[in-house]
Amino acid sequence: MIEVKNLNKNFKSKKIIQDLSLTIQENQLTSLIGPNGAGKSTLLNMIGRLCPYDSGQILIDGIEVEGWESTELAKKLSIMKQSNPLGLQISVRELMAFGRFPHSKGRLTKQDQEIIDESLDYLSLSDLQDKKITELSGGQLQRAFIGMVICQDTKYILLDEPLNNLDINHSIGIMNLLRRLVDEKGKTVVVVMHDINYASQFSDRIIAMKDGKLFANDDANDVFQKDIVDDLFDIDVEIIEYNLRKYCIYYGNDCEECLNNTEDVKTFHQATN
Amino acid sequence: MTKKTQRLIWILSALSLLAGLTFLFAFTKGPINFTLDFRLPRLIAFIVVAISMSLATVTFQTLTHNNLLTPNIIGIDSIYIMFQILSIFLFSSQSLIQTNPVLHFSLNTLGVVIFSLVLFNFFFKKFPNNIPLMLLFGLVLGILVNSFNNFLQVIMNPDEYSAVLSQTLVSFSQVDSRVLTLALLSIIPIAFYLFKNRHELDVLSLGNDYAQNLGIAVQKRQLVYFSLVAVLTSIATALVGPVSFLGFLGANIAYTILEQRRHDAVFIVTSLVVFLFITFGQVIVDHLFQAEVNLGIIIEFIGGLYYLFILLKGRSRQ
Repeated sequence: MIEVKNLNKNFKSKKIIQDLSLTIQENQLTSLIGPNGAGKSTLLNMIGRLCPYDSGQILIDGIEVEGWESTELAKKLSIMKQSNPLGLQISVRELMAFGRFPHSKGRLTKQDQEIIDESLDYLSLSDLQDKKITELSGGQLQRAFIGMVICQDTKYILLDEPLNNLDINHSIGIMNLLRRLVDEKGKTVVVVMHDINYASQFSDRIIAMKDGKLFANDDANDVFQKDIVDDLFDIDVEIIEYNLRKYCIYYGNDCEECLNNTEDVKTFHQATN
Repeated sequence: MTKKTQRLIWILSALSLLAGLTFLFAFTKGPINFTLDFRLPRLIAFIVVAISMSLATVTFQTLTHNNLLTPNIIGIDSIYIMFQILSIFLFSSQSLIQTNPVLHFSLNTLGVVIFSLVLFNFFFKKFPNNIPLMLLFGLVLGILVNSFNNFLQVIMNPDEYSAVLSQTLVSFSQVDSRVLTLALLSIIPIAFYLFKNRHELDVLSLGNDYAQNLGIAVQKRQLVYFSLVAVLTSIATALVGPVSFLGFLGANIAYTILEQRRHDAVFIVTSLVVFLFITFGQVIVDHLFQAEVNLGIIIEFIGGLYYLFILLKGRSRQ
């Protein structure tokens, strides 16, 4: 379990995180949503010990982040920021092998090689394993980086906007993959997301943040309500249901033509319910 | 290491052996013992300089994530020379510090290490992850220190000045062999340590966030590596004076022919390439040009051209 207690973080005089307390449950996919500058990425970086905090506590399995021995924590928790293409001439397999570093310190054992093979298979990257990462497309590179995290084989996996710059096909592929990590491998995955529809479809739980404070922390379905989303992003959205799933329409619902068509929407709702 | 890399290392080793033997035995006149007495210490110094500049440059480039940098850019060599001059200026050329080369070398190196640690510590605490700022600061600091060195030499008494010259006017032709044993002794454990930690350096080359994620205490380790870079640069500067582009030349040739950045291969290939440059270069300078030109200047010239080439190539690729 990840527990955050009375967390504060300032950059100069600007308050990024203010008195934030929350818990992240195990074996769930949790999405962090909220407007730009809400402190989502900062929170994720602080949990992933990439960034120090000013006061408060972050407990990973009951031990404070700063109290963990670096290597031990690297076997427990992994974090991947938005992947900037590295200028390094390494193959997909070599990149993923780096994930084994906390376990084997660079001297790969037979067991490590098996785990890498398995992860390559899991991500359907086996055919690309000898390709240099500089030659990969955005979606393939993103999968390779997630492969590194899978090889690291940690209980907690934190990802900062894994869908950045990906097309719809690859986005869904990545989200399905994260879902499988939770359902099949029992991982605890925390993702920072911008698209609230993806967040609601794929996650178990949604944590919403605004102005460095906790806005909502509940089951995905309960957070996905018109009044909550309206307040969170300061916009006027419409939540529609289709095939028993909720979708958020966040633009195009305020034009005159649409307002004239409210009758159509109602009949559409009735038809789909 | 792949088969291809191993073969490359064997070829380079064979060439290095050839270069070493040519340097020792080619164009000898008179008794061979006399020639060897003169040439062997120089060859050992070349080996020490090749290894220290290569390890220092590659490690430095890994830590700064930039293949265009050398430790000299943050002025480590200028600072070493400043300590050399300062110790003569403050304690006179007849003091124990001056007459005992081991003490002299150790104190100067210690000074450089403390100085660079204060500099690095200041920058890592005050401006974390702002390496460009540190490099810019070091660049300006290097110029400042050089001016200060000149200033000290001008106001010095002429006898002391000649003592300064005998220490700072070292070059590949005029190796300061008094510190050779000590340099050799200090480089062995450092080279061993860096080689042992080659996987950690591989991880650091991914980037600081990736390294932190993989369980490396990045800031602490960076300080350790930067201080080793300072020691290695001091050793090379003590033996043959400042050589800015030597490590740069070797490291970038190594990255190009290896097409990868694993530190075990890069360390070895860079050291061999640098050694080949120095040794073959010195043979040519000694016998073809009758020792009328300075190898250091030739290396700076070639290195400078190569630097421009890589800079422009990198630009056009973007």
